Amino acid sequence: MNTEIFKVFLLEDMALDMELNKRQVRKYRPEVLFAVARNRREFEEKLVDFQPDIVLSDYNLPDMNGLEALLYVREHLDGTPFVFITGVLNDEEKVADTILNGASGYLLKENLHNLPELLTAVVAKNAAVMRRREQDWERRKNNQLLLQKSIATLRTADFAGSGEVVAALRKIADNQS
Amino acid sequence: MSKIRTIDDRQIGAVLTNGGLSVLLMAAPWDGNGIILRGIIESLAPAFRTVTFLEADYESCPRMARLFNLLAPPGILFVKDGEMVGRVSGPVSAGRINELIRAAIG
Repeated sequence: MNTEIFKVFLLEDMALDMELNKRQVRKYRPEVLFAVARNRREFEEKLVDFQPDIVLSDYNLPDMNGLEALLYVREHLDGTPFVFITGVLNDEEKVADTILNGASGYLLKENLHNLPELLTAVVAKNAAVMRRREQDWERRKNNQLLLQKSIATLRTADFAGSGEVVAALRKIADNQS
Repeated sequence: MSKIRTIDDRQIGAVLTNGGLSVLLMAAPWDGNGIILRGIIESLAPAFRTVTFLEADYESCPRMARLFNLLAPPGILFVKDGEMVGRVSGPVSAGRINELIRAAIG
């Protein structure tokens, strides 16, 4: 990570558990920005916009399960680490499923005090993936900035066809954002 | 006196640990939409005395841009108790900003 501020997405429907998770994450890294979701709608609305460094998810949610959340993350955020924090992931088949589908780890709620340690291990293991994401973001940002500045400059220019050029660049910028 | 305080990358930590709602505008001087948004926020600020209104220059604050995943200016971020509770980018109306602030206050 280039930025030392840790970005954590929490998927958890219980308010108390949400607060306990936050507290343990802050023990790992005091400077942290959270985004939270309590159900599928919030999860899908916020996840991609937020671009978290890690997703921490309960397994049993009101309208989705953790495996669905994991598959959604894998589809939309590539290699972003995903950790289950759950009270019920005690079924061997479920554990196998989560691992086979690319979860980075899991923790039982009764062992929540071990979260800082787990985060240290998961972040270290995924450092290369996170670095690649930073580089990709930097590249996209630079392209977007060049486009937006060009559009701003062209808006003040007066030549035949400038409106069409601005419209075309605007379309490219929208498609890339 | 402006109701919007200017911050830079060194002050992100303070935004995250602020107990109340912070509304942060990231804009650039060459971007007309950002200039309009600044005027809107300036006019809305007196109605929300418990909210902290902040602005940052997009290009000189790369850490902040990355943190809030803002690929280009302008953007408005709503942060409360270390949680990003809202985020909009591009042109947005005064009415919508008003709504988002009220929703974030809860």
